[in-house]
Amino acid sequence: MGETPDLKISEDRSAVLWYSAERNAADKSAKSVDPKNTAVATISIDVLLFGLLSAITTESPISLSLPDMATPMDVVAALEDRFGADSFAQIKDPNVGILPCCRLFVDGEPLEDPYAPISSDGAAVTVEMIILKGFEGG
Amino acid sequence: MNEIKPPRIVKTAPEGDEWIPSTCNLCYGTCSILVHKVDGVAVKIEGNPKSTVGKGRLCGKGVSGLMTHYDPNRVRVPMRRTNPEKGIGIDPGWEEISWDEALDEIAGRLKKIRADDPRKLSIQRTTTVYTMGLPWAAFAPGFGTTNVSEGGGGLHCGNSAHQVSGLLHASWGVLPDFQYCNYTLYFGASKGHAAGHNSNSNMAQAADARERGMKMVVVDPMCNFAAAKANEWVPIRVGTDAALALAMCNVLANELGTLDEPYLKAKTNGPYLIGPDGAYVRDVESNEPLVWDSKAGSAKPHNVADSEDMALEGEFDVDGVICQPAFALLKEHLKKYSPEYAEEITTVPVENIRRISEEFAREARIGSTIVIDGITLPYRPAAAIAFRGLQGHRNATFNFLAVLLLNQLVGAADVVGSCHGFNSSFDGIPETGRMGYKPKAGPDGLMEVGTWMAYDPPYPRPEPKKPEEMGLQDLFVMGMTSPFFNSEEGEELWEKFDMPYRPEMLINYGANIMMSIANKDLIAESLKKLDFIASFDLFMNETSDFVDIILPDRGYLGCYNTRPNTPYIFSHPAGMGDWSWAIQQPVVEPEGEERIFADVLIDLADRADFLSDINAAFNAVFDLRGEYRLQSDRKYSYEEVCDADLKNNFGPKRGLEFFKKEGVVTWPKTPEEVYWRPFTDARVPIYWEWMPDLGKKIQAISGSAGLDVPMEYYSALVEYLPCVSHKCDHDGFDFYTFYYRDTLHTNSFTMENAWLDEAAQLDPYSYNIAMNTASGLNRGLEDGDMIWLETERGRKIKGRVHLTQAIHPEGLGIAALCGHWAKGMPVAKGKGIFYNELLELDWDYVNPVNLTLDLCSKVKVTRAEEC
Repeated sequence: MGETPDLKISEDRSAVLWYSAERNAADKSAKSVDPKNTAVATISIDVLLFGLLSAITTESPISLSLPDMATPMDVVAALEDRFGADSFAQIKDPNVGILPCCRLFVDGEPLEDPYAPISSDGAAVTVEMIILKGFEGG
Repeated sequence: MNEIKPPRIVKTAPEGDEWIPSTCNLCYGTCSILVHKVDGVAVKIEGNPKSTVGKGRLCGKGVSGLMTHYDPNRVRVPMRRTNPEKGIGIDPGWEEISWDEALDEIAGRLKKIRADDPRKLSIQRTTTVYTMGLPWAAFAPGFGTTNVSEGGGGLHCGNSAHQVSGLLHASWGVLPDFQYCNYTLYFGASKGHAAGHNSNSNMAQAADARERGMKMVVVDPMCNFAAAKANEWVPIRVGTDAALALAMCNVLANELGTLDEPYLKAKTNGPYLIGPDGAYVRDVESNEPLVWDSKAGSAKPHNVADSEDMALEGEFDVDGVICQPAFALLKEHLKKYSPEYAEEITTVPVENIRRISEEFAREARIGSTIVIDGITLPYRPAAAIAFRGLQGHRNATFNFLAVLLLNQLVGAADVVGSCHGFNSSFDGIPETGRMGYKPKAGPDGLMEVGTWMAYDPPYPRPEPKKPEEMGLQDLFVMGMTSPFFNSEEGEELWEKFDMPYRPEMLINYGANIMMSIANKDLIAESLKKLDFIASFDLFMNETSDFVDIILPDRGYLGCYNTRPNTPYIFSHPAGMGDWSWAIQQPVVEPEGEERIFADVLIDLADRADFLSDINAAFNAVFDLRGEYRLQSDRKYSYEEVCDADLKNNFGPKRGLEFFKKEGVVTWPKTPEEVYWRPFTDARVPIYWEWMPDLGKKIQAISGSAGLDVPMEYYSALVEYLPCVSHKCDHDGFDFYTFYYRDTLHTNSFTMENAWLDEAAQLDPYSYNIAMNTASGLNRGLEDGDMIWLETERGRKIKGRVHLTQAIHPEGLGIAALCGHWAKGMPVAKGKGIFYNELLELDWDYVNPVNLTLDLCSKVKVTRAEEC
């Protein structure tokens, strides 16, 4: 091997660009933990299960009454209480909460964060749940 | 906000003579097309110049779509077998039946299975018409099965490519930023030179780039479509690319020192501290990975310290734990991949390895910037890419990671001129904001994709568990398409894992799995075990020998599809330019009784009493909202669903009728969308910290079923690991076979296309076995001789040899998926070689991380007698 060429440029103009996103980010603090549910009022939640989940019960809708800051995780916990933990093992995961293939819709709007409150104003809501399975590959 | 400008098609024509905009599906490039229809007959197909997708060009496959559409051998009516005996070449005894008869029988079986356990239904579909996957993405979940697969097109093609591209580039695959790239390295890829994702657009961009002076270096066992146009072809021993790429990484990191340190500090987990156990050292309070803040002289959580102050090397004491940054471990690890070692493994000369490494490093222009549309961006005009050829080996995961690591070291990731994910970031449709997606930071600050082709994104991964899916993907959580649907081991493993059901029924959409997965006897046995198979298809092919009811599909010239190019991570041009949204629509009436398959699926859902579920699934898949959500118990036509989808995204005035007329809408991309990396506060993993722990968890479950996981594949640091073929030491087995995608063909069905077959017969490679001239002459062979290739396990194929200098001396190159034997495809029958007959489907040949199949074999060559 001959002499190692010096391939570095004299001035790194892009460094500031690589650092810029984190400097622009609003929150440098550690990720917040799951919000504790301290509310005392309740909301009515009608749950509709579709596809593979519909095999869990013939009850439709499933009517729940939960504290008004209930999250999807709370809904799943309530369903587990009623129908057994095994029934919902297929959608729960210790890493992500609820598997992303389990889609939740609150009054027709998708809810992505399993730890976010389902209802912001305490009004009754309908929650639809379905496990999607896309075709990967190619 | 950018305004959508619907382009006007100004071709005027007399009545009965019109040009209809739609989308091609001869491959999954999904180029936008115009079909000339005269008196109800499609007479010509061209590219649509108003669309970014294809840019008005169309390849030979696209223009020949007419021959597939009007092929007299097409299946035109539903048929049912009368012969209960199933086997290769055994006549099913087809009888024509009505659609009602066919669907009543299928629905009856579906009802029974659904009441029992819906997972007993499995669905396979072809990748050829990938973008027509959405109706299936609704049917399968609506019915309640998670057992879906894409046959060989999935298993062979991208399990690793998609996973690793997703982790490092938030996209389905990677390619060079052709507009600005000056130096590109291809490893087992042909982007811009053959078929596949966004093919015609890529071809135009690649040609422009070469004319501009972009240098291409192609690493491949064969001087094929890409290498033939390259500045330099690097012949390499089959399946050893990772050794070369890692040697190059070693040269960059440890000999030249050409590293983009600010990039590594800010955009990778290189600064994360690793303890003696190989895991992140974490903050006690927040549990976030720690880094060493050089300025503060202390450890801090990664999301608290400034990247600029993070150490990439050194050894540190954090509360008594001695730890190093992950990058330091990587750099040290790379030293064992010396160029001398790589030469021995790959046959690429040492001096070439160092020269190419130096060229790549020089061309990367670390530290430079450029202004695009007034935005200052990092400029890294060098890109190393890979795809199917590299990842079709047992070491698929690390093969792909090794190549993409080259880009990470020099900061050539999703910036100007560099290696790009396909359209990883999209601001959304201008007038509604719908469909937008962006990568973002997930757990441990590592990047999550903004969108994905399915619902199991590459990160974060779920915990492995005792499997209940046929393909065991809930155990092998980084797996995608799985061999266990069809392998002999599948049944044994289901038994050992106490799988609560067995597959009973298969619905197939166009996947010719008898040809596309592995050797035919093995696949035949797996199909015979099923009680019932229904198949939508164009032709009676090899798989039809095992089908119970065949349903005629209208094909791409007869279907609706509102999303042929979305999500944009699959098949839409990358780089600066425009976004296009095109549709697919029926152009001509069916020749026989073919129906739009999506309508058939809705019909089945209705007959089998899960209409509300499929509607809920359509609502979820299309994210339909408000007035556009499908009502629970109403039976829609797919045309109505398409109209809802388009209005949901584009507003009430731009539904299906608008798009049927206009064909495509376009609007400009922004630099922030295209070159998103500097604007995204997320890191990519160059140290895969989760792997050893994941491997142990999987082994704890799989071991109970006698399935041992080789833990070297679950290393946190990338490795070169040999294929099964590399370990063959039997005398006389001195060639490595591999297959490649012929640019003239797609999967298996295009061999039936008369125009494409004619072109292929003119090509000396398409239907022959390519062998190095010197290697052939040394064995007494002449060009055109018939030869046998035989594997260690005795699998044999026969074909005619074509001697050429354009292949590695140890390589035998065969174009994929030829060698048909079905009577129903008379043009295809007997042409070319059925490569997959050589392939095994057992655990020894499967990547234990993402379930890719090892596609190379070590063979002995003997002369065959002429028939």
